[in-house]
Amino acid sequence: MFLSDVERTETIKACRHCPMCNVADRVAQLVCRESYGPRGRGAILFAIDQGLLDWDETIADIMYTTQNDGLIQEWCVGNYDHEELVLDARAKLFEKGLAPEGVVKFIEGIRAGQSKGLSPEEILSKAKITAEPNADILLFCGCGPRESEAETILETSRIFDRVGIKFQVLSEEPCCGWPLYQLGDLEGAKEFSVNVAKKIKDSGASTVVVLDADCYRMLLTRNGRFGGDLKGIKVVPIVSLLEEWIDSGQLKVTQKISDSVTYHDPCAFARYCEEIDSPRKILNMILDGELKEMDRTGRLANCCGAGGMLPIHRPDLANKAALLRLEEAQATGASILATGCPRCQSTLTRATSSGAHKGLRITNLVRLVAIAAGLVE
Amino acid sequence: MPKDLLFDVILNEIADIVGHEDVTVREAERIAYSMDVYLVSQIWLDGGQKPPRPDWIVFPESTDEISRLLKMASRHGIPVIPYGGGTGSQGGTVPLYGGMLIDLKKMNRIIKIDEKSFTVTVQPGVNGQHLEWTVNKKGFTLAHYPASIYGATVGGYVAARGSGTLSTKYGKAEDMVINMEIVLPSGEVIRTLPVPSHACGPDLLQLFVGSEGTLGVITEITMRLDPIPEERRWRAYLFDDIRKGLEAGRRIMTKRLRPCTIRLYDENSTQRIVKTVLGLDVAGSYMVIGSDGDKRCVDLEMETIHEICTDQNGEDLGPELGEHWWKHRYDFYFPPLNLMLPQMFGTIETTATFDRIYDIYTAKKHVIEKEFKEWGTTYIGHFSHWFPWGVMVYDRFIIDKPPQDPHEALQLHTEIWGKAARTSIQHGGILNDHHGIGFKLGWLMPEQYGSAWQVLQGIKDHLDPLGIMNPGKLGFSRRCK
Repeated sequence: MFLSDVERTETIKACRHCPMCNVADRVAQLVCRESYGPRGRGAILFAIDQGLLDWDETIADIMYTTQNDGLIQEWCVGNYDHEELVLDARAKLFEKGLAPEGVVKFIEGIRAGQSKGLSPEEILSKAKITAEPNADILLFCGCGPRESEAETILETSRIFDRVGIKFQVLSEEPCCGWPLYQLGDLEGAKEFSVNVAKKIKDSGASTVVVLDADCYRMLLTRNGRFGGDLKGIKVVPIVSLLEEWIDSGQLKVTQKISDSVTYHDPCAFARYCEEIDSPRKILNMILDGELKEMDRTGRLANCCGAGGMLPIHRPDLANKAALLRLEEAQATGASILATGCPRCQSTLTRATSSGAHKGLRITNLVRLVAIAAGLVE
Repeated sequence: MPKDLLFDVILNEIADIVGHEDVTVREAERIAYSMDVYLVSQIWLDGGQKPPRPDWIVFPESTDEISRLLKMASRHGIPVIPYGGGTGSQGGTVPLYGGMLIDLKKMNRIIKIDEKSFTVTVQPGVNGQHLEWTVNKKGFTLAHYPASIYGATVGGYVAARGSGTLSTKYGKAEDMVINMEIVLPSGEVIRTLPVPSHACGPDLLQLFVGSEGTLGVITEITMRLDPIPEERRWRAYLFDDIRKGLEAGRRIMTKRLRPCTIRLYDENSTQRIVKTVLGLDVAGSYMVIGSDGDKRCVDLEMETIHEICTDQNGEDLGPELGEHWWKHRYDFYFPPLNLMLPQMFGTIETTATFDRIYDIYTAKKHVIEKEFKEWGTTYIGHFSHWFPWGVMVYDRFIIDKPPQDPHEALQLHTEIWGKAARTSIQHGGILNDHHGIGFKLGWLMPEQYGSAWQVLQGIKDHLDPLGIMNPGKLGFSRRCK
């Protein structure tokens, strides 16, 4: 959908014989199969276009077994959008009814509005926090934080309260459509994009502050292209606001954090939305010592394992990818791994359940800011 | 036994060795494994025809599994194709006769880094760039930077006698290997001597280096490491013509200086590649040269190099262009900057002693440009990989509008290669410097070796009497049915 026919053809032609980004595809390295790497995918798609292969479940397995995290395009000197090519293939597979069973069930669940999480209002009310219904700022929490990182929502609201800025939440916050877009249900992604944009517009807010990196990317760069109307509404990630508030003195740092910290760049922030500096500026202002950077950071950061909705089709591989990222974090000697995205936080936290990486605590940047501001211990 | 039954019998025997999850016969995967970077398989696919595909693709995890796989293959007499990164340009991993392709990427452990002896022991499926990143953290470098580094494996480096951009100082893959473990076609596991320097008879290690999977499967490799140099410095020069540049390079090498890189582009390349990638629009012959190591040694070496180059009227272009080239040295190989279909192209590099190299270069240029004039063939070349006694010319032919029919394209491709390779051999050069032979050049190996070919064929016949190992490659006669 986001590649024109010409771009799609050129991307396939570039990828089908080129092994140069193999090293950037972590899942391909975990699977250890040529067929599951960028070149293999390119060759398979080319063979389909040539009439030498038919779409089938094997090809579906291959196309859904990737993080699709933007690192391949980032690595590519020619800047071919291999990730969007994969999404195009997924869309075709989904349309033909060939998407893996687990993927289809997950999509059906989202479409049916099934969510394990509470609504933002319920989360806030449990902590006796009240949002301001007509505030100019809307806090968009996202499904991930609502399901498994509610603390991040509460800490964010306490920070808003501390700086004296009112915010509202959507009483029935819908999914932004990102999972559907990633899994190939483009019709669903369109419907959800239009719906979420309408709800945001109806709220009367002029600014949407987004907690989740993937939701941010979706609202900022994809919503309009899927038919959503967010014209006139400013979409910002929470990290930008935090940086601004700390830098301007609106949010006072009362206790600098003495632990050694490393930072994981969420793909959607760093590669797709260029949110690389804000987290580092924040950490620079709230840490006692210097940030301990991992070998691969910023636009070249490795994914936490959740990219491309990999955990839906291959949770085992997503966990392996997360463990590799944890290893990279641990190699810095840091005791805290902070990230700017609740989804990355959950994925990395889940991976620590094996007991490996003892001594490394996973947390959200928002929490570190809340600690530095004396809002939580 | 009916063929489809035999197919299933073999599939189940493979699964008994590696498990069902580590063998695949799915058509999409067979397509993905039907090619390496050799143009001909690509031409086939682009022409709407399926290239030869493996029947079974296997992902072993240990030497023992490979040993059992080869015993099984011998019993059935099926072809075996070892596969690393699939980055070779000679068709070395193309399963010409089908059979069992063994992808070694699951054997990707870095077994040991010996910080005292400066060596690293790895399984063959380790990715080249990953190995480099890993040893870098301990202050070492493999110093092997081939264009294929992002996709290639260490097994592939050694099996094809690969070379990297710093080979002038650090050597080619064959110079870096210390010892190896190999599974012979019979399934027997052997080890070469612990160190490469000895007086214990002929060199068994080097017999398997460059064997391209035709004599066995390499399952463990110990390579030399070097310390990360204190300093690496670059400088670029522009010579009036290629001869001046070649003479500067010859003087540098015969003075026994050890620059890590000398890369001399001919006038066509300077116009075509240097302009595109470096943005330098100049006439003449461009050279980038590098020196690394202890800072004091680099100072002295670069000073001497400068004297030699300016003595040949080389115009000093300063360090920036050289540094830029080093930072972007792999860019040339990414699409769309690389050569790719629908262009037809081939790297027909050869190596010769200094007294012959210019004649080879001009003879090949003449052959390519004159004899294939009707196709508008372009010939470009650069001289990299310098030795104390000679140098390699990395020359290429390029046809912007080749025949569209894959059969015609293959015919033209083979004709050009035949002419180019025979010109190299006739002028004292060799078939290939560092890409290997595969099936692209296998047919010319008996010509290359002359009466000595019987020695190699005899070794092949003895080690692999059924001819199961990578049939159709390296020029060996095929026996496996």
